[in-house]
Amino acid sequence: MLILDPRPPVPKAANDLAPRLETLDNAVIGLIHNGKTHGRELMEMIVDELRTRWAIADVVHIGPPSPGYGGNPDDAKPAAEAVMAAISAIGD
Amino acid sequence: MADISDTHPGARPGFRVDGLSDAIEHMYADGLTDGLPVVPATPELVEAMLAAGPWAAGDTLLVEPTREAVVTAYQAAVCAVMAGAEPSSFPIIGATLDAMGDKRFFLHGPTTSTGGATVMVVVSGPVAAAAGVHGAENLFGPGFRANATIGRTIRLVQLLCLTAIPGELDKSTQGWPGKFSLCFTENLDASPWDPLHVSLGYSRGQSTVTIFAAESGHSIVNHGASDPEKLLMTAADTMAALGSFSPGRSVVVWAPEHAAKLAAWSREEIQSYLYEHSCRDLATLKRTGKIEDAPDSDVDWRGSWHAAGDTTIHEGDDALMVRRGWGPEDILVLTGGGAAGGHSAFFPSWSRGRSVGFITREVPT
Repeated sequence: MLILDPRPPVPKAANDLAPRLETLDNAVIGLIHNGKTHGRELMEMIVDELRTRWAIADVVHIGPPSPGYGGNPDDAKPAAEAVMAAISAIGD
Repeated sequence: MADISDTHPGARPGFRVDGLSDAIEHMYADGLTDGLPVVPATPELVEAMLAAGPWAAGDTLLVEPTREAVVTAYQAAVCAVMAGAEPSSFPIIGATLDAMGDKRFFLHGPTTSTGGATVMVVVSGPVAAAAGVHGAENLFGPGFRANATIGRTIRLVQLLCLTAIPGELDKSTQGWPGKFSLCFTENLDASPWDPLHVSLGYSRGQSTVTIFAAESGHSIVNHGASDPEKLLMTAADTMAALGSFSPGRSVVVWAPEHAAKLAAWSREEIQSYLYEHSCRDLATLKRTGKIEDAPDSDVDWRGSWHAAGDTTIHEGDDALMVRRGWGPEDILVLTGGGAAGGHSAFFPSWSRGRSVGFITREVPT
């Protein structure tokens, strides 16, 4: 008995991970928030903690104006190209 | 012509089992379920489902804009069989998926949000009766195949084709039973107003689906009022409850007993009354945390408000009334339910914000 399956094909293996940084000294950090209330502030608190350990060079914020929008990849591209490490979080 | 079980456009190959009970248990074990047993989708049943619509197996019925995930007619037909839908429902299902792909619906939002919305499907026009879509007693509840299986198909598409798995991509805090299925039509025998599709500019001979990202319904109970305004006050008060108060849209489904008492009012007059009276004072919204802290926001509280802004209570805030939604057109007025009982319903839109609009598509015949 053949049963059909509606699910999309099994995804291929995940992309290779980016090289890991040995230190965050002089790094530009990208903060990717999902637009939820106070999400940006929460990410800033994380950076404040990182600054106690490393000499962070700069911080770039990336995120949609509202959690109801997926964001525009073209808008995020310049920021993505500028950062050396990124911190992402989802939540509510 | 290649058999669909060989081509399975957009989907993975099927699997072989020894019999019906084996199939059901295999599908449970493999996550091919909404929690209830599903009908095993054999090639013959899927072919029959596809034949009831105008689409080829490989046609795209839905592109989810945020993740660009595609759902083919083949995938939709497999889900429809699994849901137990009759082939006569497939054109309605296809039109619903097309509506869900409209960028104005932001499908990714109501599908994944903690708000736990469902896709409400309102079927209007001759196809509703032809497919057996029910609009009278218990229209939101069990007992009617088309109501149960059209909405169930939509949920299975979200679960299986768009991978909106609860706890993974679907982050609904609580969800609600309407996420199994919420599909109905109007009770036109009891409605004082034009059918929904006619009110939207379609001809009586056309058929449509209108979708809405709905959170759980609220009862509008009133057995004592015969004055239309008292009924409208009851509904407006329900719509202004703090728990679901937002700048979003609303669906109000009047029970026939209530609709008969409102017959002298036009749909537009009812929409205007409800918009004017489903309101709260700004001080209460701030005091209860319904306004969130975003001091940089420039908000017109009397008009197109949103849920963020200055949370400090200022003099005059207790007299400044903030309305649900942005205008009368944000309220969809329908008639549905059995002849007896003063039980109407209000469905708030998904999210504490503006949410997404009503989307209508013609059902192909």
